[in-house]
Amino acid sequence: MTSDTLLDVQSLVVKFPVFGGVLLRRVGEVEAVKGISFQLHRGETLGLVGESGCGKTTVGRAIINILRAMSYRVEISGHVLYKSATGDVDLLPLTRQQMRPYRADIQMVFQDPYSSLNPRKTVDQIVGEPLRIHTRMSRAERAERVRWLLEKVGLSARHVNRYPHEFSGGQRQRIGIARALATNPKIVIADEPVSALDVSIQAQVINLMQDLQEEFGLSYIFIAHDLSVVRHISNRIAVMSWGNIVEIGPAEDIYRHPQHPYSKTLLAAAPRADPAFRRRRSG
Amino acid sequence: MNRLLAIRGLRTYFYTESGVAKAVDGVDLDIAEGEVLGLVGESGSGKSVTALSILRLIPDPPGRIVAGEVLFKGRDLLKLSWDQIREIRGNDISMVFQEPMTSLNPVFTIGMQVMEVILAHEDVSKDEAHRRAVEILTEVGIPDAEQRMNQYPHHFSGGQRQRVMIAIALVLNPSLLIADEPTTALDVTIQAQILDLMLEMKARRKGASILLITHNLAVVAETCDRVAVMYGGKIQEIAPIDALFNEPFHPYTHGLLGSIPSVDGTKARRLTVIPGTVPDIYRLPVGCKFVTRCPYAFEPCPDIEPPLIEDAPGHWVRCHLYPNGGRPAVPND
Repeated sequence: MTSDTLLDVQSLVVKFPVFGGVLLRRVGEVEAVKGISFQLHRGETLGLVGESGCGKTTVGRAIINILRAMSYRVEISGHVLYKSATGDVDLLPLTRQQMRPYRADIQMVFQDPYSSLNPRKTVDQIVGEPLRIHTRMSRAERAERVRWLLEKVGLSARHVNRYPHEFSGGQRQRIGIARALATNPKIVIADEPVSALDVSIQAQVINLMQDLQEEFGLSYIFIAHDLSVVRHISNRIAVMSWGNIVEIGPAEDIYRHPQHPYSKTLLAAAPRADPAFRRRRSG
Repeated sequence: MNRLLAIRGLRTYFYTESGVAKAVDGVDLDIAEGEVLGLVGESGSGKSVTALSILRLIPDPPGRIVAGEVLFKGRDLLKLSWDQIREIRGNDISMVFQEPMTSLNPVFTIGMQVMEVILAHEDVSKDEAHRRAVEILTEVGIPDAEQRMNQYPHHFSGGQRQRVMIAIALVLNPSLLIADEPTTALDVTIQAQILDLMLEMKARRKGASILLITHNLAVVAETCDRVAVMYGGKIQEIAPIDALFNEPFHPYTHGLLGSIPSVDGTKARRLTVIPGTVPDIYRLPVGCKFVTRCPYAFEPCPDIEPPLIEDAPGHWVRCHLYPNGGRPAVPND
């Protein structure tokens, strides 16, 4: 690991066994991630792009080590080396208990702001929950930090006692981001954080994520299928297809000179908000 | 250019417990023969409700078309009987929806679902319907159509299901295809294929038009001849495709275009954003619907709704910055 590497994923393989027949014997497996390696550097945004089913979401979940909780028969191998303040550690073999101190450092923002927030909890409880789990803050200290976080993400501190349904999609995504930032993470894994939002709201959330990155020195793994959004926010990009990274490099290199045939196909297919481009392509 | 469809003063309201939602509130729109017209807007802008109103597919209650005309080949579709409108659907105007997973019936074979449309509208034998179903499925690019007629929707991928939906929509050669977010649920490579297919199918049917409803301006740029931008239940701007992208008039259109990061060209460090959020549909502003988010709002905007005026040939805008045909007062940023 070089000095500015924060996360080093080595030969990550994730298989989901398939069971069938009367006795539900193991009849096969789906290899969602087929041995991929990449590094995340301090302060950078690594974009993970690919079409549905390419394994990009599974990679994100493997890093924060929640795959076993979601499907206990999943088979995972490889290493996810994290350079924590207390030394290097491989996150993959850790149990939930062992993982806990590192979970504060690696947080996640999800796609759907409608289903990722508990509808029965107030904003105060939602954003404060990670603090309750990971810190020894008093109730008053937590409340203070929740207010501070809400203002950081562009919401009013007066909203603490409201429930998720009282907010728009863009505002809910801001709540999700505030929650992710509560424990002062080093890494935020954002899985399609803006794809459920309207265009004008998308831009607001993207700008917010960039501001927060600068202010808190965050490193992002930005998982998305929208090529224009990924290009905009990423320093480096990994293109995934069928469980493999087919190409990885600086964002501008990949967009200007894609090397792998799949990257070329993907970029050629992306629609452009420019009518002149259509004529160039067809003419 | 001959006019195929003319929407005049369309108002579709939803009467709910929370009040009256004026989803479509006075829409005027023409679709010409042979054109691809894009109708863009964000969620809640009224674009889908406009489309559903054309074919009288608004669930009633709570929805009702309270005013307006939809003139198609000299007839007002809003005045037809249910039997008459059923004749129009599929034969003259058909629709493709966003969800290729839910718009097909999972318990019938693909063949039956294509044949059903033919048999419902035309007095032909089952053999003839079968032959034409195979023909249209082949035309939309389903390989081995003859065999695949006997398969069920779950045997088809998302992209293939959308091809089947297009086959069903076009099998009777309608003159207008309304496509409501037809590629939103699909991957980019599949999206490009489906858009190409729609344009190809249109090209083979002389005079046929497409009304493409989408939130995605890039999809519009790739496919449409003309664009109408909706916000708050009203058309805010109508323009030929090049004019809309190169010289947008309405501040909302400006904002939308600035919000999209580009795939090529130089990368902007920050996106320009439209501040705020879409206003509550039960409490839309009295004047301009965009006033709460508009950086150029001035004195008349909150109280007086500007009319939709033609500020350049074929380029219409609803904004007080364009009093009567002057140059835009909006700085080009």
